[in-house]
Amino acid sequence: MKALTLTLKAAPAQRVDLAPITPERLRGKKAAEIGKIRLQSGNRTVAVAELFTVTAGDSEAIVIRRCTEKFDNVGAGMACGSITVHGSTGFRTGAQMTGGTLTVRGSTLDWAGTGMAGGTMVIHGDTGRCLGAAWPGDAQGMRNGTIIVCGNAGERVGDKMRRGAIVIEGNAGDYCGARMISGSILVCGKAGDFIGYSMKRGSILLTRAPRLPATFNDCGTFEFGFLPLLLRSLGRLSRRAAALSRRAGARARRYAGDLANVGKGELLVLR
Amino acid sequence: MKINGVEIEDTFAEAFPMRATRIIVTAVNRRWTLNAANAATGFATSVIACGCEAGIERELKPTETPDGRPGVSMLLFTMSSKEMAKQVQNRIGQCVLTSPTSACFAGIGPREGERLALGKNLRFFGDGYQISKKIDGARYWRVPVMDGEFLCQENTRMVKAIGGGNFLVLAETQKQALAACEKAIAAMKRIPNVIMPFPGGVVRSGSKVGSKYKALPASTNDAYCPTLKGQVKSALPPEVGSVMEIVIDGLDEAAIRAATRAGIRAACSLGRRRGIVRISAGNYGGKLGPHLFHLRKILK
Repeated sequence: MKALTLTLKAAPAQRVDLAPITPERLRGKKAAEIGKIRLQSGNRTVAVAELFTVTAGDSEAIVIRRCTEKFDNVGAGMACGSITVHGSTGFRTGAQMTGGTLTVRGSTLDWAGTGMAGGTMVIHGDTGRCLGAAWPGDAQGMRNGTIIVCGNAGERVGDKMRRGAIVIEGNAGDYCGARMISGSILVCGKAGDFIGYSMKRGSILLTRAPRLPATFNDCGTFEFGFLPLLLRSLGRLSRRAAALSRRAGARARRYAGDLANVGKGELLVLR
Repeated sequence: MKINGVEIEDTFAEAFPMRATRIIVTAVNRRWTLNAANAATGFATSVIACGCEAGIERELKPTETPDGRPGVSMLLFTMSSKEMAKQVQNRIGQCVLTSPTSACFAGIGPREGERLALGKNLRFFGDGYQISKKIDGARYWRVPVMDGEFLCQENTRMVKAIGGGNFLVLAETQKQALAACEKAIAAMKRIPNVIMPFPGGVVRSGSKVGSKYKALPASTNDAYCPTLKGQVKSALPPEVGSVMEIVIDGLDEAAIRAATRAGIRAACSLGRRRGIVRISAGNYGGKLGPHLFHLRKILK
């Protein structure tokens, strides 16, 4: 069965909240019913049919075509199935996801994957600030799941992240893994300053030595048995991680920190 | 029924329900994998006094293990879930965690049987410096140790299994019985899901239930002791001078049947001319165990 497809007619003037468009919310609905769903846009609502041409299909596999950065909350709260977005998305893409696969064949703005608790999100382009980070007022950022960014990421990747894995195939901005509680972040390119700032636990994997904060201590170079498992797992979704898995092996240099906080986190520079 | 002139007695092996788990141990090379696995499965020939029956199921190539290093799969069998938890914790804690470069993984799929702690309690050896990693839905513990890190999956699975499958090799001499058993064990080691827990897979001290000494629950199987042929009601024909037994624990009946078949055929390949007289099996008249393995049916 072919996918349920929403094709954008014309770019909206205002930002639009696309949170109601997820597989579980559209399950059992006909194309006409989907077209009547109201989407919040500024201080008014618009019907899906006003913005998109809805082509009937399997609601477990949704395709959104010609998407733009005006659309926020794309795939937010999705729990199953898949959403494939052709184009870019706005803020909070995949926020609060608990399952399924969200693929963005473009870039996203800030706060992608905030509060994510499961599932997989793949962003083929770049992403903005606070990827998988804690929303203001939240005690924890991403709580589970996997995020792959094929391009670059902005500041505060995985801020207060609690569990799960993030792969940045390009470069990551400043404060990557700041206040991290647990989980794993792999940065294949360069990472910015203040990496792992105030992190409690968790692992930040790097391919080159970072500008080390003063509160991280060098532990030396060792074999880490979990690295082949982790890299092989991430390599199923990320080509760069797969290449690292073949090349890097289990050897890494370990820097423990942030010793100004709990100090049980680590920066692992792969050899 | 005869194979190569060796008589297959019309009898059966009697086996009983057990609990089993499979654990994968890896290390930097084959030598250290075997060091860890041999220690972990040592002193595990019989539940009577060892707490569990355990053995190496097979060696694993690096492509078959979770971390891409040489490994072995071990099978452990116990009479209860509680005893299994104790045995796994003690054996992995004392023999695998302590072995240089080792790592330890679940060998049974997450949807089978019931959960059994593997690294869940061993992690506390890390004294607060242990690190948890959840990869592909499974939790692993990284425990800092003096040679680096001990990696151990949090849980494995425990399944229902069968212990006590067996057959006896009756030969003219001790040397011939041993040669037949060695051939049998070599063939049986190729069968998955089974172990032969005794030293080298072979038992020379088969037992009967009870003893003249009240404190002993079991004693020597005098009916099969060749040196007592003229002294007790012997089950041995005059030409038999040595009897050895192979005990089989397996994850299911099919595995035990396959191992029995492979073992008996290999033992019989030496033939009557090389002193192998008869193949028999140990049972309690069918009263103790629910699993009966009729030799002739298996070999049909």
